[in-house]
Amino acid sequence: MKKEVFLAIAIGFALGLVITFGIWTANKSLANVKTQPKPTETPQTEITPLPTGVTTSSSALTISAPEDETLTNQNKITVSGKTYPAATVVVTYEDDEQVVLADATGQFSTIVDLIAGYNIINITAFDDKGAEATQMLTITYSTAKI
Amino acid sequence: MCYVLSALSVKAQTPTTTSIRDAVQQQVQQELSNIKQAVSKKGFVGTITTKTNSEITLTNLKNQTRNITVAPDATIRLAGSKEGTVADLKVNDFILAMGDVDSQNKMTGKRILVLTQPADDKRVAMFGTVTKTGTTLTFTNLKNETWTARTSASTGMTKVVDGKSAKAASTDIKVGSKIVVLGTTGTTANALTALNLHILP
Repeated sequence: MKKEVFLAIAIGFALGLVITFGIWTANKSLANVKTQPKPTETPQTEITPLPTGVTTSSSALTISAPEDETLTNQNKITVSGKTYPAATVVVTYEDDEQVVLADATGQFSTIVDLIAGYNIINITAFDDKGAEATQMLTITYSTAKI
Repeated sequence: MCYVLSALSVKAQTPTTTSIRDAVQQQVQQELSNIKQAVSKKGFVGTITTKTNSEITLTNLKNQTRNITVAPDATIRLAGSKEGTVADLKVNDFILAMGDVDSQNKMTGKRILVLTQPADDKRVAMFGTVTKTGTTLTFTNLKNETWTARTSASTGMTKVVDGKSAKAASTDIKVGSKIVVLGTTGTTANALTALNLHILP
């Protein structure tokens, strides 16, 4: 009888140790997650899900469309991108220029007229303190069969 | 019980899951980009730097190198829209080359035009703070330079109203107003002829 009691106590003790160890391990893991430095958020400079290979001259201004060196058979093209929130965006192109406003998230979009041949489009964004970012695109408009 | 407790500790390890997801997402985006680049038509503009038979290298307007293989049936137009051949293309020619590019951004040139170099764009965009109002207003830019901007009836003036761009009048410009001016430079230093003027809130 005493042997069974002793065995029961030993098994119970061992089980208790295992449970305690498990709880300790879980608590330790949770504590590590809380004290781990928050991963640095990668600045969301790219708004398009498809990286088009467009390299930015400034991370403060990203052009999502069109891709640089695009060849199009349309005489208008939409230029869109992301920059400083509520930025003033100046767009100059062959025959005209525009001033557009980015929205509160920095997104902007405008339609640009193209001339036959190549078109140099300059996009300059200013924030409310005058910080400036610039991008240049070369877009070709041709109706010839390529 | 031990299995449950060990499962809890594994679940707590979220940073690894996040980094794996980011890595997979990056790889997927790269593959999609490669697919997109595999079939696309482009126009390369720049100066020929090297030419060997039908292989051309040019430096574009951003000083990037572009490689072009001229297709045997390519249309080549020289200065004055004169028809030419690949042999007529020379180093230092300024060209517009159009064709298909592969995933390495190498072009098979189908149409090549020899053009004149573009003229300098005299338009300048600048941020500043107005120090003097008037038809020709004076402002100071971030470099503390003093500039003037001559406005006229054809100057497009805008301001921000309820978060949107709205027409503005010259009377909306006050000393201390923050502005973005787009204008053309001339022979007078630090002077712009204003094409557009935007008043910041």
